[in-house]
Amino acid sequence: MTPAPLYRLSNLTFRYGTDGFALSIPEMDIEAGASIGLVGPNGGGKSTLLKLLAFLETPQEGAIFFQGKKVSGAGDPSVMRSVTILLQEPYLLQATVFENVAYGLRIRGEKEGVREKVADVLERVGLPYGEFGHRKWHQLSGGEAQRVALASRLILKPLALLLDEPTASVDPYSAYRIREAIVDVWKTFKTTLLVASHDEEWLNGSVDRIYKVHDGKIIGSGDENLLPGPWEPAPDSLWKKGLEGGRTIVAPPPPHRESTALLRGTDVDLYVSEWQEKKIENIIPGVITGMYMESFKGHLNIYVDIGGITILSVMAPERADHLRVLPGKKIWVAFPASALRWL
Amino acid sequence: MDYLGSGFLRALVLLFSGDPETYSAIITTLEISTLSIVASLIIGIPGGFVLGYFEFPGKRQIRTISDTLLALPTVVVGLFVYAFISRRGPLGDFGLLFTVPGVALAQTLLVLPIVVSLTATAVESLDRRLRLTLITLGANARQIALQTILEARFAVLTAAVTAYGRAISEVGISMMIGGNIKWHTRTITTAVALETGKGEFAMGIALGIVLLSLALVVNAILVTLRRKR
Repeated sequence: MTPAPLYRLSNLTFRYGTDGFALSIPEMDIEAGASIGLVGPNGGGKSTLLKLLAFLETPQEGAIFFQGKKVSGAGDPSVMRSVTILLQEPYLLQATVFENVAYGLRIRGEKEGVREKVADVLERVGLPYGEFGHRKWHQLSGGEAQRVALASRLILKPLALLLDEPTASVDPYSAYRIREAIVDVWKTFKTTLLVASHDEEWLNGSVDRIYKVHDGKIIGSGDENLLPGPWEPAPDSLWKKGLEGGRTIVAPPPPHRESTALLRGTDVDLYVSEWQEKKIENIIPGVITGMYMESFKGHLNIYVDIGGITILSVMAPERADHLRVLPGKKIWVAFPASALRWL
Repeated sequence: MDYLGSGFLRALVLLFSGDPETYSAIITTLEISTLSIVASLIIGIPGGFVLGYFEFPGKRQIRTISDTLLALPTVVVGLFVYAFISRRGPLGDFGLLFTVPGVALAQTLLVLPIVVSLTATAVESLDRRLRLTLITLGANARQIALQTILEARFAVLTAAVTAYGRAISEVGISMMIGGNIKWHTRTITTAVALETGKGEFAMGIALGIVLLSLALVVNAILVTLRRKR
């Protein structure tokens, strides 16, 4: 018998208000020790999913099982203490850094070696205890405050660490330290990580799997492009979306003008010239804006700006080497209209 | 205007020679205001916390009453308490009229709304993220409540200092309940009122200086507390 997953979500529905935004997840397992990133547009449901997993919100329908046990209501204290979430714009207590980080241990009645533990987690987030331990909450930059908030959760050694936009308003160095710290606890303590972020590049280096959350649904594993409407009719019973500079994306007929299309990054090829033997509807000029190696999967993610929207193309390093892709280089993204799927 | 200048000089003599009558009034004032402030904090901080922290039916109405009582006229409190503690009143048997505890009791009623309302406001105006943060760090209901009052500590101290300022400077209650009895219930404010009426400016000015100094100290404490934030 395999052990129960850390989380099992079953027929989950969560709604704000009576007819407001809804998140619905028919089935989802999160194994202990998983490292998952959540990306997607604002209001798509990332934060809501994290709050549900942190048991700060209760689903109207369906259930969340934690370590095989159904959690109802606000959850029992032992479950609440196994999971911790770092909310967007964290709040620090009006006290010193030390007291903030030690708070969770103090309310658990731990007295042994608190100072050492505080110093250890502060070290992990790049804030030396000697320099920062006695600073007051208002003597920290935004990035430092975020790292103190992270340290005060790391010290709890949670089974699951949930982070909502941890790098939304921090400096690059803090973003780097936060990544180092969470990757480290994931590897060392097998802490289950769930991280929502806008910064896909940062997220790709921080977690080993990415889910896209859009319109209240989990729609894929992260290498998808989302192409929102409006769409307008085009010749040959196709539809199109206008981009900057007269460029267009051609698509099969959408269910609605405002529908969003899904395009897998693996379906997007790159060409160094417009001329092609094959008949492909979409060959769109653009500029490479970024690229990096997805270390966990061994392929290359290449981002191309095609006029207001960025298209992700996923390819093997050999193909990228052959194309000599470089940031700033002009390139053509190519994908058939049939590669688009409607959400 | 000579009498003011000479009154000021004699006031300094009274203060620096340790005139017993002057110091009696000062000590009585400190006694009464300390008693009343301690009592109002013991009742008012928990009361204000409950009012600001919990949701319950009638909360808005209680809050409105408390806010209205911030402007409570001292003579109304004096009248009300007098009626209760005079010999014919329901609390007449305790013999509180014209005593220090009697004045302190009335002053407690006067400043209680200040402590309650300002504490409630302090708790209400705390960052909404505080509660969520404490939950996510594993705090239980009692620990959340405790930390909430700790987070509001600067504002609560401000409430206490504001209330103290009101207690030491009021005259109506001290006059009506205390009766301005020399060596006994005569306070700084009642003494100033009496001496001025008699044309005796020296002691009035001396006590006025003390009162202003006390107000200054109280305000200095407030400023320091605010700067600590």
